[in-house]
Amino acid sequence: MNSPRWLVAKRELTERARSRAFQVGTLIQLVAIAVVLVIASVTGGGDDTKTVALVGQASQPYAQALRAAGPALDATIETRDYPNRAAAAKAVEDGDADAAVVDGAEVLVEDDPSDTLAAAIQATRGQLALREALDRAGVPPAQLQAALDPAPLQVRVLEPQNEDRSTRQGIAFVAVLLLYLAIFTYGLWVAGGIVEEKASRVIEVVLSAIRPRELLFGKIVGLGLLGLGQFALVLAVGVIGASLLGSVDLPHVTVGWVAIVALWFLLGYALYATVYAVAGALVSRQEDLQSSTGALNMVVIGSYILSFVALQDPDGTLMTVVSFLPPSAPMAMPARWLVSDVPLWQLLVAIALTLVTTAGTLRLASVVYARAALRIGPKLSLRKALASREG
Amino acid sequence: MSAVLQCRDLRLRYGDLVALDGLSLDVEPGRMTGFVGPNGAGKTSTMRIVLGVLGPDEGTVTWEGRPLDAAARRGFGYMPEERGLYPKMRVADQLVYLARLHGLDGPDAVRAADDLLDRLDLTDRARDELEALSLGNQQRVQLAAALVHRPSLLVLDEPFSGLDPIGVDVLAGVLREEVDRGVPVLFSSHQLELVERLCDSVAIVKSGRIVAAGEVEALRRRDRRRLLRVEVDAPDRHWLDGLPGATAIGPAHDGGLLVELADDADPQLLLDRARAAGPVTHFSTVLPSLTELFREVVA
Repeated sequence: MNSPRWLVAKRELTERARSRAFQVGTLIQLVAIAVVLVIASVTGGGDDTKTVALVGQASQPYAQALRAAGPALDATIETRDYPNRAAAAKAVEDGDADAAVVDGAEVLVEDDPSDTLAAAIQATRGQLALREALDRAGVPPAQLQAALDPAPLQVRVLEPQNEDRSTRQGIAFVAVLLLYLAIFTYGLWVAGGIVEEKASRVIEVVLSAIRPRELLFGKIVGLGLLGLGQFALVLAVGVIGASLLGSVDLPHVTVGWVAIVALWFLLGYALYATVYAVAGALVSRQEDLQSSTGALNMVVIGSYILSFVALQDPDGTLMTVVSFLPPSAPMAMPARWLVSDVPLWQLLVAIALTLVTTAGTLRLASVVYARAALRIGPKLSLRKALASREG
Repeated sequence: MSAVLQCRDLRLRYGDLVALDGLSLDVEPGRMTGFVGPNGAGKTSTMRIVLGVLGPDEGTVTWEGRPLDAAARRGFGYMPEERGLYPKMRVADQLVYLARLHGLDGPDAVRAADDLLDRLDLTDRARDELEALSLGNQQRVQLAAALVHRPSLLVLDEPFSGLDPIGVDVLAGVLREEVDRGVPVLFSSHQLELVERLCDSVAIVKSGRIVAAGEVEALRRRDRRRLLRVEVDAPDRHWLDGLPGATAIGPAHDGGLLVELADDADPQLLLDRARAAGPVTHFSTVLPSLTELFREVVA
């Protein structure tokens, strides 16, 4: 751990983690996640529990039948006994109960008479009346049971997977957004970190001790590790928070999915960090950074929008194409992987393409960095930097 | 003693601009070498080549007789003309980091940084961020950054520029300590009186090549002009009239008359004339100052 690369990486990591900008930024992300989770849990979705207040002996037969009707409403139905109509009405008004059945003759709901719960109670009444009529007609209990509770029809799935596809798609959208934000943010860290050293002129002191390549590599690795840590923290708080609050269904978040997103985070970061390093090396002042990263920011934003649009049709041609192209692959490929069945070879080819591109941009970055690191002054053009000598 | 650092025939061009034109320079251990020359003469380029942040088009640099490599360079200490450290990094952290980049291990780097901060009277600022320090103290930290790894060679580009007289004394004292430890020190400066006072050797560079180099005293003696300062208790200068090869230049700044003698003129004849005019209280050869020497070789 005494090699210059690791020393640089360690400094980048600890100094940035110590900075107010980083701490405030992390806090804002965590707060944003918390707000999203709370809003999601308030607006419902996920596990729903409905309570029906029962008043009087005549309402008791509803208890079992309503509980059995729960799954059809995509909810768990609980019943609770109340001594009289007034108590039940108060419970409904206060929201302690969602509906009440009084003496088997009256249904109380808060404001919506065509509420699905009220409809379920009506259906239950029909079922109870039928049972009573059949019972009175002298149908034997076994036949009665068979008539009222027939063996369920067999369900055959015609388009397998479609069932939780929309959920998967939702998760894929979130993954694309997070990858985009991570690549963008951490890429700008690299560009900013490089300019910082030029702007403060410390670069010449550092380069008198180590080589430009070592400095560049250490910087990218150090900031990448810190970025990965922040990314993982936000992700973990999001996932754990979601499952604690029960606000979002996370049906099949497998280790494989997390691994795919993490892998593409690393690939995408490596690719874009090297290009952002080039953009940073070409200028000497923070103010010039915007103009030198402008085109690159457009590529990142464009790749994000393209991936986002393509994800509307995960099996379409556009999605397949953007999941291979190196600029968009780090966002599009993991998204596609989450939604549809991607042949393994396609994943491997996309990874290989991104790696090869990264090797190229890394080479470009170390050449440009070595030549432009000590150039203080107005923004250099890429061509000029490549044509110049080292130093 | 022989030179540990030898630059030979360094050449460097920036497009049409010739920065170095066959520059050769020796730096000896235990000696302070001043590097002087007009702006744009090639001082900074030479120093950058020695530090390896710049590669020459042609020429070689050797260290202890071997071609200079990255491992040897890692031991050098450098203060660039453009000062700068990490503004938001704590002073001590900064020095430890730089010491480690130069190859010291963790505990050793911490010890070296502590010692140096103590030496430079900065111990109570060790935990502060650099930008919170006064400009003078920031300059001390910059010096510390060049010294913290106990360098095998010190190269300082205009280290005295912008320092107040006390800062100059502190820096001069620290550099003298380093030289006394046997460290070769090379620094550039435009303050020639300072160079003359501090340096054992001097190299004068002009247009990318060295035009004069060696011990300051030897360079002064090598001067072609023969100047003498004469103090004589005589009413006027007429005693000098008619002496062949002697020209009165004017009053010397420390009293008496400055006389230039032609190469074939005999100083004893001048002394005889002076004694004939009155009692002689002072008679000496005057060496040119470095400033005069500089004007002469650079003109």
